[in-house]
Amino acid sequence: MENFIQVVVNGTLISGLYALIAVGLTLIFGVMRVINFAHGEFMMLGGYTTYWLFVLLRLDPLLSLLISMVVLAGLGLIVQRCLINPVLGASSLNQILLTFGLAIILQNVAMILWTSDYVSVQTWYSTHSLRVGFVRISVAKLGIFFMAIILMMLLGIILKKTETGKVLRAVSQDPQTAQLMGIDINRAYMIAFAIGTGLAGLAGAATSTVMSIFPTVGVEFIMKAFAIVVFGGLGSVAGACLASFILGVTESLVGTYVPGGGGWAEAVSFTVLILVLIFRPKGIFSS
Amino acid sequence: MKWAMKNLTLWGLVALLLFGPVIPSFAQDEIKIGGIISLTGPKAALGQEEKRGYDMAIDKINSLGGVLQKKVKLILEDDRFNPSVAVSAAEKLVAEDKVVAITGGYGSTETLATLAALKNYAPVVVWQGAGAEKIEKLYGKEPWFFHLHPWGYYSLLDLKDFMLTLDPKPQSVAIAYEDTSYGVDYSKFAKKFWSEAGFKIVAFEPFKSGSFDYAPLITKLKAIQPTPDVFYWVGYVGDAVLLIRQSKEMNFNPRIFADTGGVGFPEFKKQLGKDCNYVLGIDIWSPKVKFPTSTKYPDLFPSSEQWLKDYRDRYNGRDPNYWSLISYVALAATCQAIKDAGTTEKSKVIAALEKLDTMTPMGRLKFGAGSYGSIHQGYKQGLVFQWQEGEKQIVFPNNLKTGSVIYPTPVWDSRH
Repeated sequence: MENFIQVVVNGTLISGLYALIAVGLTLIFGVMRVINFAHGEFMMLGGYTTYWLFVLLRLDPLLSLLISMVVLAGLGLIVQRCLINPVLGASSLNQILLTFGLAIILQNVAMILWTSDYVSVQTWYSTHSLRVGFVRISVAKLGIFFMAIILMMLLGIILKKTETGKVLRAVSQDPQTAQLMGIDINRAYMIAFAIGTGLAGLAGAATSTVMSIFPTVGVEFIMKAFAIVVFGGLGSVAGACLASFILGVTESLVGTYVPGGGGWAEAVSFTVLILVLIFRPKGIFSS
Repeated sequence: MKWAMKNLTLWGLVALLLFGPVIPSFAQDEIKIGGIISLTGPKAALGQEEKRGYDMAIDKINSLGGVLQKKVKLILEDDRFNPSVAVSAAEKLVAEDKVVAITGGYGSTETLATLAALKNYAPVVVWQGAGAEKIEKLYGKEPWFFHLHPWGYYSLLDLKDFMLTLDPKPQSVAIAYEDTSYGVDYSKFAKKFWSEAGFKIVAFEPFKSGSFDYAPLITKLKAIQPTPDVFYWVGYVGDAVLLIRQSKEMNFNPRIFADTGGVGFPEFKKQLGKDCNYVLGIDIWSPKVKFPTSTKYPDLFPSSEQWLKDYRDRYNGRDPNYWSLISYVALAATCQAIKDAGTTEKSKVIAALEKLDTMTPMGRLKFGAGSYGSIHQGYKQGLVFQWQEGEKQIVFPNNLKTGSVIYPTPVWDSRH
């Protein structure tokens, strides 16, 4: 039983990180109908931003998290303006190829700028853990988990209550009608992309405190994020959050209790992806 | 103007016809050697380390007058740590570039794919990477295949001998391994040798290299009662860093943490700080163990201290790991063999490699028999080290040791 609680706690904590990445991806898809294959690379760049702020200015990741988010949102704006906008009307294959190419370019730029060495930010809380009874809770992951919850709630409020949120939802539901109603859809696209990449930057910053950052770190995450996004229903923020949690805990359970589970845990997300695509292509939480 | 243009084009064509065939003979003034390493992709950090060794070697060889009065050109191919890319790289080197010999390698999976592709052409291969015994069994008897890196099982025999010297003797071992050929192969031998030596294997768990959460694995190992005396894993540097971090987080306290791969890298210490302490690993080379200058080839194979100095001078004080040195040796030994053979003819180069017997900055190099049927195995020695105060101390074998092992590993909660 002790072990079981620890396993569920492990899975829950990691799901915070999953949610941060997946929600940005699903938001961009929901509003723009663009699958951003470079999402993992925005995350990687967020990680490096935090790392360099830490190395050069000794800025604690707790402070530089926000800087990374803003920097990556800014970069997202530029990318959206210069690269994504021109292909918005093109076929989805063109868009996929474009974002895929962008991912490769960003990986290589990172490799040239910072070499392929693994780096990470070492703070007192990086490996510190709290002891609650017999359960060990990683301080950094707990922080990331709460940050994810707060951000998701904030995002929920923005989408539901604010003018901008309503615009985003309107564009997401029907871009043509939204345009007829006088909504500036280009602005909506910019906002969605910037929020998405900003969240990816934040996820990268958070990741740099608990694991290593390297030019291709995004690849592993993006595959998982795709599974979560499909699982939760493409474009659904709440679905992505719930899917992150379910996937995190399932992986943790499989990894611990299935013999040879370390190998199988990684397959969980893809098994889910395939099953959902076959049986519920709109996502498990769609009505 | 038009007339001038016409004339120019005409003369250009005449020149091309006259001098065109001459062009390939410039190319023949070079001796081409191929190198297949992972310059990009998930293991790029290692590939770049190998490239540093290659760059040093190629400059050294050419500064010594090249080979057979020709400049040596290294054609580097990036396998991106991907077997199918490695295969096309190998085929390109043999079929298009027509290289005299091929060096390279890091992971066992791409090596297997590469060698399968090369078998049809059977070029001279001097391979510095890969330790899986499967490769030895499949290709070790091929006359064209020379292998420098000790086979994985040598490290596990070294670790076994080391563990037998510990007092009190560890009883139980938990083994975790990354689930490609590399991890599967090493862990298989660990299980075999160590259980034969009387250690009880209490866990044998695969994991995916590059995972970003090993908490499930650690939780599983922690649940084993009594706590395993030894936690040994086979993985890469990123895995090693995360496994130690999460062992600390979850207060997992075996008496020994040991790995035969990632823990040897400077990044391991850089990322973990003092948490790297007490972890054991195997190196096939240490800057602390000194080897003299080669008497036969003093310029090509300087003393280990001199080589280290050259590396640091060239790369702004950076510390090498053995992958740059072994890559240096692979390329340098290949070129020296061509020089000794006096020709690029394959059978003569092979004969020269077989005859090669020299001190190198990594120790004596003489290709000989391996334990599972190979005929051209270069290095065999392993050095068991332990991270102590952020430094690697050699703790085994006794004649090369630079420090005494700290055993058992202090529990996490008692460390400051």
